[in-house]
Amino acid sequence: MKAKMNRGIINIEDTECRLQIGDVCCALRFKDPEYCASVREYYKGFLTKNEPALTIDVNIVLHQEEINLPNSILMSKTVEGNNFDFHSGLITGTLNLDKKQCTINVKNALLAERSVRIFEQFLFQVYYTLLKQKNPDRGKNNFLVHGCAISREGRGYLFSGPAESGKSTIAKISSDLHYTILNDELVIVNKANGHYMVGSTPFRGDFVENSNERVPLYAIFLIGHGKENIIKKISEREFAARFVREVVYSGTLLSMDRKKALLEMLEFCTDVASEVPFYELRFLPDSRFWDSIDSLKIEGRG
Amino acid sequence: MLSLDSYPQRSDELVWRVIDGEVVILTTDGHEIHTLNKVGRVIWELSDGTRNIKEIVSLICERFDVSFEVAKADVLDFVKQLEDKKILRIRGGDGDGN
Repeated sequence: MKAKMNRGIINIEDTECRLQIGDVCCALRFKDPEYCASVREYYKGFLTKNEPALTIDVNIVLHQEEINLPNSILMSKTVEGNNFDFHSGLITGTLNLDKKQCTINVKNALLAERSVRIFEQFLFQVYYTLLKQKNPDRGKNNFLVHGCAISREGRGYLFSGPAESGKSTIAKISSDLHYTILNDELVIVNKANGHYMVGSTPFRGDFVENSNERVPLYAIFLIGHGKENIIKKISEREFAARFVREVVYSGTLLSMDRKKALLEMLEFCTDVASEVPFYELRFLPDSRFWDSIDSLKIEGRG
Repeated sequence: MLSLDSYPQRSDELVWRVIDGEVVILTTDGHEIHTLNKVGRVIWELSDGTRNIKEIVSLICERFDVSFEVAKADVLDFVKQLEDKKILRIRGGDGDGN
């Protein structure tokens, strides 16, 4: 897409992409208007005119060497003062929360096609950073979770699982049934007024038409492909141990207290288990799994 | 070598929570998750570095209807498994000599 230019004057929208991630707004600022336009296109539906809590100047670092990209950069981050370094230089940067300013240098391999999903892990930490800055306690029951969330008659169904477990398949099938797809890859699960909600994020999988909404969380299904549609109740221990794998590590940009972050994640999973009905779902790739769900007698708790 | 005089202690490199009477353990590198059932939970909670295995076995015998020899075999096996997974450290006995 071509960037819009007015008589040589660059509009703020030409170089800035303001992203709404749940209740948090951050702005990504690029030097190249054309690149910014492609980012805005990628995140359409999640752009905002809200005032950003953080503006991130993105410097793209061109490099000749081939880089073996890791699956995760969250656990290989180092921090020194206000500076952070993800995975030995893949992303380096400086954060000044008082000035609402962040500058990052990103190796361009991270911004190519599907690799952008690894870059987004940086944005996950931006989300947690801003969330905890607003209110440290608020971050305790507010997490990014790998899952496909569907809204049906105002009820949120979360299908959570690792890569290849069927999240995008469920999104596609449910879309064909005209249900609302919040996201097929990453959602926000948060507690508001004593009840859990599930909402969309800009961070999607293969399904493009995600809807930026938030609805009450009605039930959670830990999913996997199966030879037939089977829903079974699992223990709270099994749920917590499996669900915590799908919760995005909640460290902030400058924090290194992993134990605290992991403990909060575990406590979140425990609390979710006490409030929201949960099941394991093995399913065939057709719409009949919804019949199995409808035959359940889901009883709300809390 | 693990013995009745060994002192098992939970590793510092993990977080854990009791959930519905059972234990979920996360290693701090975020890569591993372990779960323990209700009996495993008791041994886990007793493994705080202040009790040796003989004391833990005795406490297990008090709480469960099991002989000392059976409990001893089960506790030694359980502690060895968790030591191999590096979520329990062993001090004393014929072990690392700390």
